[in-house]
Amino acid sequence: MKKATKSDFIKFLKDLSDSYEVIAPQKIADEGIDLSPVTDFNKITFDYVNTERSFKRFIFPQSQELFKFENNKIVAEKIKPKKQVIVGIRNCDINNFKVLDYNFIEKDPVDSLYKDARDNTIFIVGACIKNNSTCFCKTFKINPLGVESGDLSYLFDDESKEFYIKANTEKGTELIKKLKCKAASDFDEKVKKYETNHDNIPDLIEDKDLVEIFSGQLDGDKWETIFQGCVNCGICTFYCPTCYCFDIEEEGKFWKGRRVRNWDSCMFSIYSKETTGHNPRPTNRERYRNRVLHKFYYQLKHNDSYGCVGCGRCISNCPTNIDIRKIIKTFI
Amino acid sequence: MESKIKEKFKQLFDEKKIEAAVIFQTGTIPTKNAPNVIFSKDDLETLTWNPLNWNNLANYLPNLLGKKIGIVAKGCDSRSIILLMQEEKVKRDQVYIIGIPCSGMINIKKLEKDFGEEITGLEFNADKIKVKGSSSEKEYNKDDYLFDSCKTCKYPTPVIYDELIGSEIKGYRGENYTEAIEFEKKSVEERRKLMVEELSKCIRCYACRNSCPSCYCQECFVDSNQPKWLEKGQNIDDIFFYHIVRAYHMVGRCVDCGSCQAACPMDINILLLTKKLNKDVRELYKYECGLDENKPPALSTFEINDYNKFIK
Repeated sequence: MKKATKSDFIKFLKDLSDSYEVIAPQKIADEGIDLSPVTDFNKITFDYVNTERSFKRFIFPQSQELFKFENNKIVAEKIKPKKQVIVGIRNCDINNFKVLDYNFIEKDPVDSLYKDARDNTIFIVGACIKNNSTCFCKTFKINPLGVESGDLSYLFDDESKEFYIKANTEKGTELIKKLKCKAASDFDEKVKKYETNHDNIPDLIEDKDLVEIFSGQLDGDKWETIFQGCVNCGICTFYCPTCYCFDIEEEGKFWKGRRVRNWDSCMFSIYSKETTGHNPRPTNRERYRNRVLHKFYYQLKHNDSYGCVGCGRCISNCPTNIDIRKIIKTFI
Repeated sequence: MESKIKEKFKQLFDEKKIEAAVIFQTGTIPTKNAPNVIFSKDDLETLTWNPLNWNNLANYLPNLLGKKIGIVAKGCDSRSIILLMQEEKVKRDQVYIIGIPCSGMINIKKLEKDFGEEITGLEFNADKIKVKGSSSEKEYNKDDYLFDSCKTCKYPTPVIYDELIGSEIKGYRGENYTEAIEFEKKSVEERRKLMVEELSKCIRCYACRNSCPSCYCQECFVDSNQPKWLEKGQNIDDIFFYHIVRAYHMVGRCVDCGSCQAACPMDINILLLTKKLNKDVRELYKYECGLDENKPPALSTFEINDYNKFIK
């Protein structure tokens, strides 16, 4: 455990950029503060509640090439995974690994592209000292301070303007050695100090069993009204740190092209459309119902984890104010 | 105003003149209102009317085909309803339109960015917005934060309605096509550069398409895989293809409500393309969309003196 000034911390990141690509929160013209590869280290900012989009896209890109093919042969190109450091992730976002790992790594076959990207990335988690009204991470027993998560974690102390940094994994312990600064004996005290800042974050589920609650309401009247405003765009799924659905496609011609995988969204009509032309989820109602149940019923039943981390991005970005918190409350 | 709308809808529900109503309800966060379709008068309680109602409510009509519907309409919503009537997605006797003269909607994302922290409270006065955050409070001029399409709105008062609530607003707040004229002046390379800059932000969530009342195709060309018209990845050419084809499908069908741009989470200037096309349609065919339900849309009809210089 160490404490560093902002310039020490930035210098530490700059030194890392020799062997890693550093991805850090920066102010991006129209989009607010978002994670982006760093070109100018002075542009890194830590003044945000959460980044516009989650770090998911750096591990599991929106569009990813699997291989190229030419004249009936696969032109195998072993894609070398990039070594990267992602700084400033919030604890809610990094808890998406409970969902992503289950789908990509824990079950055979292992998704090597995902695994390589994950293994070659160093995650530096920043504790939240503020929160938005849309935050509901505590619902899923996620601590917004979260100094136990990631390879390294830090807490920015508003008073002393210092970063309190802690290593949580072997990788992290190696890295923190490179950070030249004082040791922090008062780490736990500092963390405690910020605990009360998050008393306003709600726990919507408490200790209720959602599997039991939903198994009685997989269909029925309540589903008739909640989806009405939804226009079936893909914002909630693309902004969601845990949504992992993808679609594999060939691009190009029969004799030359490439196979790619792209993010897909259960909000789109094509998502569930079958070859015959039949669509088992023909309207908003079925699609929205699937999204909710996948997050709070199917995954809970099979993987014992929620498909939601409570980051609130779907709420703040939805063009029609579909609020997942309201929907949880409707069913509980 | 809100109580008048509620009363009217209650009466319509009671008299069984409508089965559903398309309205705005108070949102779950202060910066958003929720457009919604309701089927019971009990849901009218949370009905709201303020400058956050940017969604074009006509968007919900094609899904309600065959039902008797009550709808609140701003100027742009009413023009979209006319377009949907022209294209036989809605019948005139099927909708009861409560028209509301609109003084412009607030670009809340821009306001939130300028305010600097999360907005926890909003108050609207005649031309001022009072914004509250957890640690500060500020007042802004409403005019500075209107959507671009609202700033240049020509028809703030609904064009078609059964009942008008509120007093008529005479429109035209400024020149409509300055951006399009600038765009025309550019060379092909410059245009492409500008478009690449804008469109490379696109994440292909299709919120622009889905927020648009004119986009109601059963199967959109981007969703078609037999045949497949374009790839679904992040290649800029495919993104280009989507936006340009979408814009071309809007020729003479766009009412310039701006809901595509307002829905975009990446703040892409989507209106740039449609504005240019609107300008062309106005100049070449002397036609503006959504004004007269008895006249067919510009490209659905042919007259002998129509512009035809492109045929050589």
